[in-house]
Amino acid sequence: MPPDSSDRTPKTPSTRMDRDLFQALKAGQSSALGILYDRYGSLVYGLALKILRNPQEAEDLTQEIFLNLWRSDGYNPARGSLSSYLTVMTRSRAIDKLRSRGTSVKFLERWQHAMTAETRTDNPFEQVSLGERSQQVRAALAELSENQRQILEMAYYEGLSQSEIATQLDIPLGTVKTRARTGLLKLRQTLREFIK
Amino acid sequence: MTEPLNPEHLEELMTGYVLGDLSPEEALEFGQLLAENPQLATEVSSLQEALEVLPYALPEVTPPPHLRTAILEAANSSLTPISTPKRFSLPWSKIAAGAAALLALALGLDNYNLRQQLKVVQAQKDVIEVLQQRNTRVIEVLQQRNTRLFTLTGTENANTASGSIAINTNEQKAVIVFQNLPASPAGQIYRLWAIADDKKIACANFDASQQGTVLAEFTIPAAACSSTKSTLAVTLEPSTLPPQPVGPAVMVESSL
Repeated sequence: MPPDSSDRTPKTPSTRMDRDLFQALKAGQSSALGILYDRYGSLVYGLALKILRNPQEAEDLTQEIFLNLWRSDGYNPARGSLSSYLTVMTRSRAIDKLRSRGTSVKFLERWQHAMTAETRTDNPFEQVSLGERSQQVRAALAELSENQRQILEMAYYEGLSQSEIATQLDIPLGTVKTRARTGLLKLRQTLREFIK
Repeated sequence: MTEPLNPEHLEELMTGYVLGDLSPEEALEFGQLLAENPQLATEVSSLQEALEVLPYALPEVTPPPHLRTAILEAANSSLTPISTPKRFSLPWSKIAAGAAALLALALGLDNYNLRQQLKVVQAQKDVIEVLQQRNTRVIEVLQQRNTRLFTLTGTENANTASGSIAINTNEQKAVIVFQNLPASPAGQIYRLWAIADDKKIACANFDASQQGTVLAEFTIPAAACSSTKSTLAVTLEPSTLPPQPVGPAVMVESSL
């Protein structure tokens, strides 16, 4: 397995593991923050932009996420991978912002990976480059039906509940639940090398 | 629940759980299933992981070049992205005394007790040591303006428990200070929730010491956790799973 490195961002020469970089970051080395930004900035910004659909807001959120990493000890390496922590935080804060745009503020019921019980730290997904992760996930999503993919993406990127999705697509809730269930099980099956 | 599980129904419950939209009835049912079948936790975690890889499929977007510079500059000068008021650098002893006073306040001590407490240098030192052990950031959180204090009291499940949560909205940091909360049983953990519009948002998890005290710091994961529109509550949950409120409420926010 190749070491953790990024070929999505060619200007990252570093192959230092996230864990080491995080330790350096906690010791106050801002160069480590630079390397982590080069590695994951595009992932965080891309996700923020996908959810918020506003470049300025996506920039602000990306800055917020990385400075939060810099300033706080909210991330615990024993509880999962840094990339997973970053995407979970980005998604949850972006959806929060999305929801608070509306007149009636609604909040997403969510999980926080950062706060769950200990997970594996030898996550196989972390052992491959970001470019390879992207290829694997795109291929796995391509195996789902358009309907299944649409529902998982609406739930993930728009923070909608299954009943909200049913209303929006004007299909029965039972159909949404079936598609979500079969889609998620199939996604897990296709990515089983990476997911225990 | 003794009848054999219908696998499809179980998968539906797990999917609903992972997507975060189980109804209260489903959450209760799922909570019972989890208690009876602990191995389900692994299943749930793997479905969770499957959903969480979605962002990797997004087309790659290059952030604007100036963003990297802005982030590193802000980090180097330790400025926050939002303009926070500049703080005076206070002598350490003042900070410590202030923190001890606030901590005592958070512990619900009245003025007389507070004075007694602050007279006792040793007690103050203990508090400071605890704070230092946790993280000096706790002191900073307690020190700052824009800190909101929420008071929580125990339900019948922990009727002597009480305490406060100080939330710094600038830094999105919070400190939990509780007392008389029974240590959580093995495999269980306390979780703090914000309840807004009938939705429960997970804010933090923590354990109580054998003495029943809790002193924990956490980063606010969602706006609802620091919103005055939310009600804060603490429940006792299985520690093996991503947060979902299935356990009993042990503390709820009370108005001052």
